[in-house]
Amino acid sequence: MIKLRNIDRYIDKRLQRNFILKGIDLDITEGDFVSIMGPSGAGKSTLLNIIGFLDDANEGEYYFLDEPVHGLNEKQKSEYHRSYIGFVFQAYHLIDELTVYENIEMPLLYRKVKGSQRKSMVADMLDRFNIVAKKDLFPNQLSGGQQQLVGVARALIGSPKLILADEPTGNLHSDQSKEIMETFKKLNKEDGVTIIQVTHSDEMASYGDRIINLQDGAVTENNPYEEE
Amino acid sequence: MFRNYLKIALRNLKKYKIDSFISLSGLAIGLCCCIILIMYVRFEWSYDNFHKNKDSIYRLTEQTVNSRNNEIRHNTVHPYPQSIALKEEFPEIKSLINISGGSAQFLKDGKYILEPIKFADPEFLSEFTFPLIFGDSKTALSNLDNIVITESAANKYFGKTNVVGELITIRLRDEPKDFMVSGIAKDVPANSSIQFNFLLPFENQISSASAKEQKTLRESWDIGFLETWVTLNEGASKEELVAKFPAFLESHYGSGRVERNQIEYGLQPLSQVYFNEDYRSGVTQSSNKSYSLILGSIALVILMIAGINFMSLTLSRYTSRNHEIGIRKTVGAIRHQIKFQIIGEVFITCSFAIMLGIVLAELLAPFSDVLFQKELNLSLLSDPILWISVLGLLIILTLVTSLYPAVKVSGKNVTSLFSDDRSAQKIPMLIKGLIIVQFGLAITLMIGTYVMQGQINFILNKDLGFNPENVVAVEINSELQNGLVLGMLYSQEASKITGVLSTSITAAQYRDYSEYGVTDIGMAQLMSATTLTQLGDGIPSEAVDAQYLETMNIELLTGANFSKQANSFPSDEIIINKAFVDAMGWDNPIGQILEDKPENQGWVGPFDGKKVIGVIENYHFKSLYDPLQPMVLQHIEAVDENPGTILIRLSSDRMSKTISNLKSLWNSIAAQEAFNLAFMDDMVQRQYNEEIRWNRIIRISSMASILLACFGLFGLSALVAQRRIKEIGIRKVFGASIKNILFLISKDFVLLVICGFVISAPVAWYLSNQWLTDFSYKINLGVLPFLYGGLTVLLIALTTVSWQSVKAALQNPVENLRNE
Repeated sequence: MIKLRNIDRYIDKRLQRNFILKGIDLDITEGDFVSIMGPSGAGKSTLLNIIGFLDDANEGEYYFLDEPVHGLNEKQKSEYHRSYIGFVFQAYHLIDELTVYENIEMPLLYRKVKGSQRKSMVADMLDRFNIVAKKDLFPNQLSGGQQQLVGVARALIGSPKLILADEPTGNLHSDQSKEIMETFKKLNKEDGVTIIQVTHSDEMASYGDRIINLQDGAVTENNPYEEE
Repeated sequence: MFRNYLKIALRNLKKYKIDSFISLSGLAIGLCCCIILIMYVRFEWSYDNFHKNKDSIYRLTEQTVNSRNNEIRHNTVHPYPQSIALKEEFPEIKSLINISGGSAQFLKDGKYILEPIKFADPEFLSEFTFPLIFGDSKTALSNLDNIVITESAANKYFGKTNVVGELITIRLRDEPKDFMVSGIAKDVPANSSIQFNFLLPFENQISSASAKEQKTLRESWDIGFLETWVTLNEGASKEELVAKFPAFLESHYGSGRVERNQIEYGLQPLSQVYFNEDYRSGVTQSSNKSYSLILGSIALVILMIAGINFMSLTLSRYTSRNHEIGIRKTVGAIRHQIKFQIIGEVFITCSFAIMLGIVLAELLAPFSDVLFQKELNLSLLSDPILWISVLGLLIILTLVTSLYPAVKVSGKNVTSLFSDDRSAQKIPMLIKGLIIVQFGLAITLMIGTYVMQGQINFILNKDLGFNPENVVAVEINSELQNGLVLGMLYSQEASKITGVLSTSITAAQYRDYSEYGVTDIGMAQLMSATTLTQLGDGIPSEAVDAQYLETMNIELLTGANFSKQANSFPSDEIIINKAFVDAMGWDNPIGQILEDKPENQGWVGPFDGKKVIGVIENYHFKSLYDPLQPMVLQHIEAVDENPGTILIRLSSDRMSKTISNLKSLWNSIAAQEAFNLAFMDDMVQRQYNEEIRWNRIIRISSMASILLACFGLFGLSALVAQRRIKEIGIRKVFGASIKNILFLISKDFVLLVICGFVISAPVAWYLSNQWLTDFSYKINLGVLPFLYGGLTVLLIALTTVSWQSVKAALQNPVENLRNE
């Protein structure tokens, strides 16, 4: 599903080139549940952003569903965002001015889903995450865990093939974290959604079936646990 | 989707209440001011547009050059025989209409009331567009004893409008006479330069005079008292007619006079009358075009300032919405959807503000007459031009405001939208530029206001050479046959009243002539022709009595005043002013005898053979628009003239008691005459009414523009303080005092205001100088108005910014840091 070849991401300072990612080769197949781990500043988030088309690599090749991403224009990228990729962020990134219902509904608006259909889809989602009672509240009226549930619901409403989660549990306490992770695991097993998450926590990483370790912008270990 | 945008827009407005209030109400107020000002400018520009023939009715104008100082003089007044000659000699003239202004006393409930009237030839009503409600335009003025009155005049005198055929008693001169109302005219629109309530056939102007005077008026080519208006036959060209005037002048005035005074005749279309202040006239009003241009520019400046507020606040708010845009992008919004959202949101808020502004203007319009001192009767909502320009404004403002953030934000990469953009904490360059422009404009206006104020104060406080304070002028009808006896009697009796310091009579009529478009109040108004080239094209003079100098506090430099003994004055004595002495180059003026007798001509100047007995200090008998001129005082009994004004100097205490005594004295001496009393200092001040009025309009507008600019600054500084709240918190934790924080936030803004000042100072200097050239007596443009203007605005701006800075500085740093 995802094929990265020799990906470089760097920032040019006056005399010096700072590499955030250097020579990344990575293959992820459909149905994987991958955790990217590594110390702060290793380039985890940047890698995730590149995979999610939020950021562009400076060098290298990236194939998404065998389609070269480096050749896509903005409109095509948006098309992929709408139909294939869902994002979950550490800081939730909900729109403060919209209610829970409206936040979840928003991706459908960009996909031009009809009103009645939209209603039932959002209702399903609210049901599934047990947040029907909260649908008219604004994000700042919710706890962190609840906000993240809304974030996940929003990511799932477009029934994406791939979910990219940047430290989804970073701001949550362990019970909430477990709840989110169980949800991911269920999605992965039952619906076959590919999930890539960035995390610091071994416990969270263990929900996945593959771990990629990043250090100083390079993959140091692929699947450290599998080899045991 | 659209509903989603609308929701976001409204919730954002709600969330940032202060910002939204400032940007919306600022734009609304600015637009409201702009609409009202522009409406007034349009009113000024609409003068005389309602006349169907506005481009084909011409006024005959005369331009002469004063041989004394080469000053160009403009004149609209012509002698009667010339009108007849014109009509006879030029077949291309279709109709020639003589018009003159004057006043007459109208009998109402047993008392005579003085009213301004117009005399006009019968064609007046058919050539000009002054429709009659009752009566026939063609014949209404053909009978000598007919009168046309306006609707409101009919209501005033008869209590109803259809009064055709009724009689009204009028004293044109001394004798009362009945006139028959032959037509009721619609009230003259406010934007007509010719205003009238009463219209009499022109012949009355001449036939009401004494037989001797009638002969002079009918035959003399030297006495101008009427305006000549013409319309031309079809196919006749104005230019060709004007080209024939030099020959006409030569044949009637002689080539010597035409050449010496460089007389030129021209034809001025009615449409150009109002804005031509060169030709001040007693028939038409005129106004200074540059004022309406200034006001129009101020209106645009205000609108610009309000627009800039709106823009800078909206722009800076968008930088704080990067986050939302980022989210929208990750869920699949494409670029043009983001653009559309931003543009749409701005459009909605903008149209909301504009609607608010229109409603505000509509509510305030009735009160604008107070500011402009004219009755405009604005009808805003039915005005298509308003709607079209407002629509244009909406589109322009929306595009200008939204295009920059739309393009910039929508093009940004999502990761940079999510990252805490440090540049968002600073004021973007574009906004900085806008603030500089804004304050530059505001400071320019402020400096201009100070300069105007300074000049007006200078004029009002200038030593005029006479002291108008505590002097009242009592009007006396100079046409009364026993006027001189009556005037002297009243003057004598009045001087016995306690509180009266001295009294004097003069032949001139001191009055506020401003409604005739004349700034002078009637002092030394009589112009006598002269052949003395040192004195230019005429000698202004006034016939007064011996108490005149004392009553007016005019200083006698050398020589003697007129003798105060009754009947002991020789009729050849004159008093002249210092300017006269200077013009003649006399070392020893006392005893000089004027020679004003041209060679080989029968004509003799009126001051020929007069002996100078005294020299007085120059005094400003004309308004300060005109420089000092040589002038002559004569004794009123020597020239056989009737008094027009009784001047009374009062002591400053218990003035109202004295005045009521003066009134009862008047009623016992001249019971049938209305008592009209005016203060001289009021009259002098009213000469500058236009300037004072415009100064007020411009001062209020510039205050509005500064307030609006500060409005924007307030919002912007709030935004900056909000955004730097974390920085402020950190600084406070590490020991920054409130003063430090204040300085930190304020310094950027103060710098911008100073930049604005640097740009505006030369502009203001240039504009102020331009305005001042109109005055003969003016202030020196010093540093002070600039200093005041700059400091005022800086102070207001600083206060505005400090408000926010103090608020930010006083907040508990722990709270701010925890929030992040």
